[in-house]
Amino acid sequence: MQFNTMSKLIINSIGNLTDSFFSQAVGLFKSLSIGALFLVSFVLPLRAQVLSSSADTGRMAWGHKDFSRYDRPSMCDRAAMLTGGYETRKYDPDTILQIREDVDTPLPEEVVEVVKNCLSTLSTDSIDPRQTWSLVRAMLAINEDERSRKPIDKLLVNGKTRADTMHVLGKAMTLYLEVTPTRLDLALYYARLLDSLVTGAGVQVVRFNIRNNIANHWMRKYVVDSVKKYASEAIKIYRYMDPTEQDMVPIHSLFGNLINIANERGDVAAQEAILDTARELMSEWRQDDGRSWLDRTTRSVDIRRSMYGRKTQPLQGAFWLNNQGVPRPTTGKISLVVMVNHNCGTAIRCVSQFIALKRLQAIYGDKLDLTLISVTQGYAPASGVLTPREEAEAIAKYFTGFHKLSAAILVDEAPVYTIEDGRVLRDLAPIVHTFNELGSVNAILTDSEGRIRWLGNLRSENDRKPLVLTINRILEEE
Amino acid sequence: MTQDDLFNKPADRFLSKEECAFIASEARKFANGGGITALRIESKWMGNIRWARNNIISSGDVRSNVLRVGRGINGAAANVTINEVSLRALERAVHRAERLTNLRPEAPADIMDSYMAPYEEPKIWFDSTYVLLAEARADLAHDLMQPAAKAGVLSAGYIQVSGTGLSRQREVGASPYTRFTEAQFSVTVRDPKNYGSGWAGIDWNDWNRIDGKQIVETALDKCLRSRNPVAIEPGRYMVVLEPQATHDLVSGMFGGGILERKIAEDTQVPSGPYALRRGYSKIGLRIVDPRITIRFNPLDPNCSFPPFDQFGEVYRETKWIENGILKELAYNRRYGVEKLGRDYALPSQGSYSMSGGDSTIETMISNTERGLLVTRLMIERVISSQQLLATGVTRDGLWLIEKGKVSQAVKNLRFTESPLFVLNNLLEMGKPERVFSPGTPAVAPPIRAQDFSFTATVDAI
Repeated sequence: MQFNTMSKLIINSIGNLTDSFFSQAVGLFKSLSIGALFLVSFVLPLRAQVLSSSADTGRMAWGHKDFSRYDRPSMCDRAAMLTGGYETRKYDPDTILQIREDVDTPLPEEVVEVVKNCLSTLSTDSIDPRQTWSLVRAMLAINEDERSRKPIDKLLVNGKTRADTMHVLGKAMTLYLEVTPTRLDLALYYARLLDSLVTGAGVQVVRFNIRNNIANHWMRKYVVDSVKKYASEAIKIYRYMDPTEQDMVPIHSLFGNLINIANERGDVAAQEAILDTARELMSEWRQDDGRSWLDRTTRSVDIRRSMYGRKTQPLQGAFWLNNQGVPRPTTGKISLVVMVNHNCGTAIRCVSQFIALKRLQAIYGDKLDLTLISVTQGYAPASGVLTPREEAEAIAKYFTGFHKLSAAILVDEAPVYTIEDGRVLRDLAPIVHTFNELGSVNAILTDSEGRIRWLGNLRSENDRKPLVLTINRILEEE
Repeated sequence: MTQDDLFNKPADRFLSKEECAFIASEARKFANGGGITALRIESKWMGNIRWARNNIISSGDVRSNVLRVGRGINGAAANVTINEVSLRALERAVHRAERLTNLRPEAPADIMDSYMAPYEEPKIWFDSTYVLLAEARADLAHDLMQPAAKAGVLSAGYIQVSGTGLSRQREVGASPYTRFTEAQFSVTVRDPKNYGSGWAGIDWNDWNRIDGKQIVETALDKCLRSRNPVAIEPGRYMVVLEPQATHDLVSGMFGGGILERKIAEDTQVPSGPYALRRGYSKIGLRIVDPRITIRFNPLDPNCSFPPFDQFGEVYRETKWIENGILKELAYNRRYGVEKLGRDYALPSQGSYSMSGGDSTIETMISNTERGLLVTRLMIERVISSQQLLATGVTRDGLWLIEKGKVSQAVKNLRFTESPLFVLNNLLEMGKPERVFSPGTPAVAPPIRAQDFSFTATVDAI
């Protein structure tokens, strides 16, 4: 069981809300999920209140550990969710829940303890049937996969209508379509049962959840040393689909994920091995975009192979700020150069990137020299129309002042032209072309000799991992 | 001013500038955690009277205060709206907004909050409107329903007067306040036996500019002349649209966000009547007859309105269309800064003033071999927002013109037409005049246009 299982289940089911198909089977689960999402969205962030409510009020609350009163599985489920959320906040104190990255870490012991205690007096036979799904979720929270099947099977046996059965099967699949192979097998088992009732229904549920990257997360746990084996396992989900369904799912994203994992480790040879596997396995799929993906990825891997170890030259741009007169990347320090956007406000993609940068700085401090690159857009946060020089200064103020990032700032000027209707359009700045030539990356890591050690994208906390691995390796070498 | 003055004594009919400022200062006292506290206040008094079948049926006196309390802490902003003016309500609103900021990401102050353009105050407050209290309105209504009663027909009318205080209370920079009055009067006269129906209406900021008797006479005259209508075949007709009919047709070009430049040019798929192709609007292209210019100016004495919108964006004098060419589309300051390199907004309000010509309705009729004279149009549904193609029916007076003269009343017709088509089929325009358009004052001319598309006869009266 993974730390964020509950969140994933919620997110997955909410994703389904947009799809009309299969609504009959997952309808009840949606409503439960919305309730759970409300819980996660509004209860968790109020940690100040949470911490102050440890007194036993007789109601479910933080610090309430008298499990004799937990007489329903939904209480255990909620206790797990609250405790998990609280632990999340402890783990990532400066991250609000909405922008927390989907990171797999072991479920905190506190959560396991809460749920085990809570479930100790409850069983499939002793609960109200309406509490079944809470019981299943609580069981999954402590990895009791096989045990969790019993209440579901009981529901299936007692189902009076075909709709009841469909509902149970669909919900079971959604719960089981998780990050471990055992659950994947369970999910496929229920998918087949569902398909026997309504042709294609099980496939739809699988497809929706793959779209939510469950399969990718599963792949992330297994790595590159046995690429072919796991790639083959990954596509067994796709084999289960009919050809029209396969066309709708970008199978190459699985291989893309594997290549990213290999790149996290700086292993170019593994990336090439994955590419070979992809060429071999993808030949049986009909997707047209697979070929262009292969071309693009092959180019990226080639670039990485040719660039890794090469010594860099200092970057050039219109305005250097906060750089003490020294262009970056420089020698003598590990140097990270990252392309950032100063005008995306509270967009999650940017906030996630800034948080990842902050954490990197918190980990490595002066050992890591950070350079942020942005390009002029004619305006900056909380400003009006600006000249390029003013904008560069506003950008520096935004990153060093507002985001409190200690970094050298390079601002390149984007060519400007005005079209006849009065709009101001901007072309790509030269520095952007440079990064595009490197395979559309946004981050470059160099060692203290100025040699490129990693090329890739730093967009969120997930992307921080390869950088940490690489920087640690460089530090060990030096 | 003290708390006792505002919160414990009967207030005036709406909040004054001082009271708005006082409320803001009191709200700031409840703020915890630093940051800024800003309020948007819309305080309104509205009085009305309504009659039907020559009898007064209702009289209203409505007061409302809408306070939008905003808190911004480290750029994480949240708003709470309340409609109660009390210390307790303010305190709860401020604290609720603060709790909501905990759920929002932090960011630099919003670009929309940092600037307030200077503006001139239009003349939109008139005591003549504000003093029209219930008794006076009842007397007026009594007088205005007499002509129809004497003529043996039924009238239904509505008088509304209001006074509004609009304020944006900000922590830094200007805190604008404006007050304005609005008055409207409309009446429908019907002959229940012979299918006759006439309508007239007008709105001004100043009640004194509303000639009630004239309006009633117009409606009564239309009712009497439109009795015993005959059915005619639908089809494409030459039409003479009275100013109200022109407005009913073309107002859709300027309301409901349709003028938004972002919608026209900053969407993946071309959207709205002013989009040319993906990424490009029709700015700079001729979209209607070159005789047409559409102005927008809060200071226009014949078409004035409050100088800023609820966000504090100042309305600027502009010409949306000049000599038939689309010149501007509306945008907020964010769009101005980000896409146009302009440090200001160009908001629209739905109000407009359309240019006219030298002709008169009588001349237009005499120039028409066969056509229809239209009092007003009621649009029921927009069929295509790309072309503003809409369908609806004619109402309250439709006459056939034959050989340069109004020959007889005809039954109402359903039309399916676009203002863009009609304004490209113009033949003549008359002198523009104020029309009935409460809230979004408008000035439109009578027009004569060809090939107006009527698609069915309807039994609507």
